[in-house]
Amino acid sequence: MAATMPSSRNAGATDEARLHPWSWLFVLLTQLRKVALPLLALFLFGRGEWWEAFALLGAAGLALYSLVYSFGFRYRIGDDELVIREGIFARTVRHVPFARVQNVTQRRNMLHRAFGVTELRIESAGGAQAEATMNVITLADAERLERILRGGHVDIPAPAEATPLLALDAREIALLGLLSNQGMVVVAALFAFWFQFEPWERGAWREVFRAQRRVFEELSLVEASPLAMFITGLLALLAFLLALRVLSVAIAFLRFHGFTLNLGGNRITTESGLFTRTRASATRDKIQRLRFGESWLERSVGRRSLASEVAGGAVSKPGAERAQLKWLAPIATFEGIARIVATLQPEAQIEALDWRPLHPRAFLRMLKPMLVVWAVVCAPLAIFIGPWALAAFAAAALQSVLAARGRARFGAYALNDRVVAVRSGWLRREWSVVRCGKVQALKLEASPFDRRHGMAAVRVDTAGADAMSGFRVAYLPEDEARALVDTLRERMGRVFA
Amino acid sequence: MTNEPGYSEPSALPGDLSETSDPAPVDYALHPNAMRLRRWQALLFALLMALPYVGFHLVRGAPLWALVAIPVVLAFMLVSERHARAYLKRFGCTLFPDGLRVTRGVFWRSEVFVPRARIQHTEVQSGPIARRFGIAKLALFTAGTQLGKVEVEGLPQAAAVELRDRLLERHGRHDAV
Repeated sequence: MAATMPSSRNAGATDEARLHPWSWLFVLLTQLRKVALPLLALFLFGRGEWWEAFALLGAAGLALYSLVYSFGFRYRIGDDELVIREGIFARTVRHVPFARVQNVTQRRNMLHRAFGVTELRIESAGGAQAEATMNVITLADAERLERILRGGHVDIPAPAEATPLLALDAREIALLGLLSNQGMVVVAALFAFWFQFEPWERGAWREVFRAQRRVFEELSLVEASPLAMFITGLLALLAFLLALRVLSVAIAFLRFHGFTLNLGGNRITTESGLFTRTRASATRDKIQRLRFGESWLERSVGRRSLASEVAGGAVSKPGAERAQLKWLAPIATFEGIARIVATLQPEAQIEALDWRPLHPRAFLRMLKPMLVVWAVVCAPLAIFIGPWALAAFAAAALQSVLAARGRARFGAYALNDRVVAVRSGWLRREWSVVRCGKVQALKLEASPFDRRHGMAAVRVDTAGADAMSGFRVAYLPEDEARALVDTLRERMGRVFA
Repeated sequence: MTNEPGYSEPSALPGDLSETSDPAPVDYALHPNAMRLRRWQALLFALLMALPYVGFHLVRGAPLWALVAIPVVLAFMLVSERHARAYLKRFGCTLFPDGLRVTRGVFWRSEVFVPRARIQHTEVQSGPIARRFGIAKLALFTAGTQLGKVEVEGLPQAAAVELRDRLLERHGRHDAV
């Protein structure tokens, strides 16, 4: 991997290089990790059926294929592009121009750090195979590549220190853990696991109580009265909730330990992680959408989060991990967020935008479907709990009224020369800001209910958006929605921001 | 020429809307055969859905139950006939200097606008039945997510190709992302 003589334009251009000699180990581990859980499930729950052996064989075959693949991987740093040769049966040559690279992500777990290597993922715009994953290359090579991508040359030392925009200390991360309740994911998994044992059987709960009584008698602390059982049950629940919070904080530390956000020239870089260190970077002007979020709890302690969507290459596999810069600020004070936005994209200051309200009857439009749904849910309940179903419906109706009122009041959109923005929510609030030049396509849509109320929604499509929650302004008066689309059309045509 | 996807670079020049010789919006009408095509598609769909049901009952030796499928298929065809008529009546496809607007929908109505400058590439395809009716489907691809693929189905083959060509005449180096 020696650099060629400086006759070429790029002093860092190299001959063809292979991946690190130990790549095979990392690839093997990655493959094993993918099949580990299914294999474990097979061992625990499998019943020795003949086809399970095939599944194992298939898994082994996949792992072997990836191993051989990593042996045949070659890359070369050219004058203004990265050239990659890969493939076993069909050799493919890929050219990734440096100018087109948008996302660069490094991921290093404990083993990577021990070997001084990293997994590098590069995403560029356009083309079908826009993604390059190098698993693994040395840190030095990764640094070299990143420096070249930043527009410098290999031999020129890194430019002046990047401006740090945010650094999370332990207190903030702990706060993040407490507020975000990430432990629920584990709870959901445990729940799914528990369901395997068919808890809906009538006998199951009796068993639980019997076990509880037995524990009491063994310990012979207190007589096993119903009150004592109830109190201990309650204490157990509280202990469980506490453990959940602790778990949330632990997960937050795993993900965001040492989180820093930096801006160097035109490149934004974030770095975070405790055991697995992830370093993602993207060009500032490739940010497609900024998303702000705050839950009710976060709002009460003056915190908010900020995430970005950056355009990547074509999504090769749905559900595949995107190598993307996502979290700009997992948690920060309102002022901290404002400072970050002022540096990265000053036109996206949500406090400074001129927010326009939704349709005056948005409240009713939102409320009606909620009530219908609750009525449908509560009606069959009447069979089981009789007149109490009515009380349940009343409670649900009250919650719906509050939620619809909150959402109708808070919902708004903003449009000026440079950005279009939307905000929504009630307890959990979200803002989305998109620069006019980043809008890809527009859609004016109206469901039959919308049409009856004279309303419409506007969908603003951006690149690299979250498939589930694109930018959408709903519950607008129809003519206002049309005006929004027309204005955006005109602005899009003018500026390529 | 017909089914080639084309990759073109979008315009980066501000105010550069005058590449087309014709600044007035142009409506593209659907092929007159579009209704027949939809009818065939509905019939095929209904038969495909009914097949497992009918097959199951015939195998069980209960042909009477299988016969129930017939009125169901007929009812479905009637409903889809009315829906298709309304759909084709409301369908609109208009080419503007700055992009393409597609209006569609009977109950759920939508108007999609794809700016010329955001089209990454296009495809013109037609399935076996559509080809016999002379109908093609034009797909526009942008860098977006939910509207990353916008399809116009039911255009005459020549019109689809012409529309594609007119959408792709652009200059510039920006990658529109």
